[in-house]
Amino acid sequence: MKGNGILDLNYMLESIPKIAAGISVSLSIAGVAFVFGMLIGLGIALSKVYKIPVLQRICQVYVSFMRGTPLLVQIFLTYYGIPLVLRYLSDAYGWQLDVSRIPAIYFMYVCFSLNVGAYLSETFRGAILSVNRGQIEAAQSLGMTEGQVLCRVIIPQALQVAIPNMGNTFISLLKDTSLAFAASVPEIMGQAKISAARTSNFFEAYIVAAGIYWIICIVFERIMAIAENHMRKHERELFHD
Amino acid sequence: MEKKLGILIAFLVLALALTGCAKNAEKPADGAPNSSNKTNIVKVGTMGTYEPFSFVDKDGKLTGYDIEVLHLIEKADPTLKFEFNPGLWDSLFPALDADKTQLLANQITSNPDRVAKYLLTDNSYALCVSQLIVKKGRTDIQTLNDLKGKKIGTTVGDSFTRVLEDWNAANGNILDIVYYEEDVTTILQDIASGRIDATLNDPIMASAKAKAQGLDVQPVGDRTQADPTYFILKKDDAGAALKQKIDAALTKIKGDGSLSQLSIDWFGVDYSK
Repeated sequence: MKGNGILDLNYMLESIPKIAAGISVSLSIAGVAFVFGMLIGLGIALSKVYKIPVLQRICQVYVSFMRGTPLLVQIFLTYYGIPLVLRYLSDAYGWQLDVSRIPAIYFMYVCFSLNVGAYLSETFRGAILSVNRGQIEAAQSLGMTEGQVLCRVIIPQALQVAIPNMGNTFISLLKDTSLAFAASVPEIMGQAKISAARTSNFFEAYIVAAGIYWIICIVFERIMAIAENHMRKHERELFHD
Repeated sequence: MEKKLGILIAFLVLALALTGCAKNAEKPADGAPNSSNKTNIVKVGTMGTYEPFSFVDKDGKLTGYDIEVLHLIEKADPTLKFEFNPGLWDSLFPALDADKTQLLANQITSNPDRVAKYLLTDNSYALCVSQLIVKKGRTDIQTLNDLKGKKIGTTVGDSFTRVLEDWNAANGNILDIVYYEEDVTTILQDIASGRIDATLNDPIMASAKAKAQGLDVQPVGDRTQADPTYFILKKDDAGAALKQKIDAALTKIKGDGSLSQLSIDWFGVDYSK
């Protein structure tokens, strides 16, 4: 409580380690969700591109729901809804499942994976459709199977188109993890609130939290730029020769 | 002091920038100091989800013990008129800092940090008791010591959290505290479903909520604390003037027994002393 201008700098310095304790939680939610989200997204994108009869419709409804409802609502639905369903199933089939002992963060993994999967599916679909039709026909005329065309021709080229959007989605996802505290998962924003509440230094705590998010995002922006460069390596050679 | 003034100015600038208007018509400073007959509209910050102290009843009307105390004050001092702004707990204090509200009424107790930063009325208007709340039928938990290795849930920033944190620090951190952002309903739900083992909160409130929501929870053990609760105001001239009026009205309704009667009406017990 020393008088030093607008902000209590001492408090800010002291709170950095406390708030930074949430970094691992935020990163783990974002990381796990992104990996599973890519799998979900790729599956949906393929089922839409190849127009698989029933699956395509289901995916349409799923993507529409995930993009059309607020993430906060989805968090509450998974945090309270999944245990209800599991408990019902457990009672109905006599499983000895103790749902209440599943840590809250697992529900966040599920929720964020499902959410980001829906967004990534559109990114992937757009990227797959951007691959030149001629490339695919050329590959087919060489006698490649569907699978070979997909793995050797479509995905490498689509990935190059998708990477900037994926980077965008990841950064949004990372910041969205700040909602996980609604399900009592103490990520960065949660730690900021816990720390600030004791002394009413909310403004300072939020500035520290903002700084932490920004630094993490800058790091990932750099990583994404490197990845993009790597994917475009062959193009560069083409132009320089 | 400088720091507080600085924060205050920062919040004011922010508030002005955000609302995009400079008119602050309802500043209590305008009429307060001379207590003229002009009616003062005071904006009150409260949660509106803290049954039975501040909540919306089934007709959609904001009511509760804290709200009704303010209605009694309105009667005792006709120059005061309250307008209620419901909001999340952790937004109440920043809103007061930003002059979006001039008074907080939400069973708020005193602590050194609050006294340093805000004005509290001299008169309390209720006693905030706390008790451990567990799932109905559990007998293994009677005191905080019984919670070793178990999970106790609490809302970020309320007085019970502070009690728990202080107790935990003094007793070798044996409690596993799970922090919640939402109001206590969420915590009670998680106790009923077994996600966490207990919480420390107001037994009156918990029983009322449990009944309303059909949750299987119950208070156990001793009532660990009885802290008086106060109205909170901003630490400036307008706040001081408003505090004077409210304290005068509180003295009046305490003197004529109407506050005691209100407490008995709400809780069956006189918690107003």
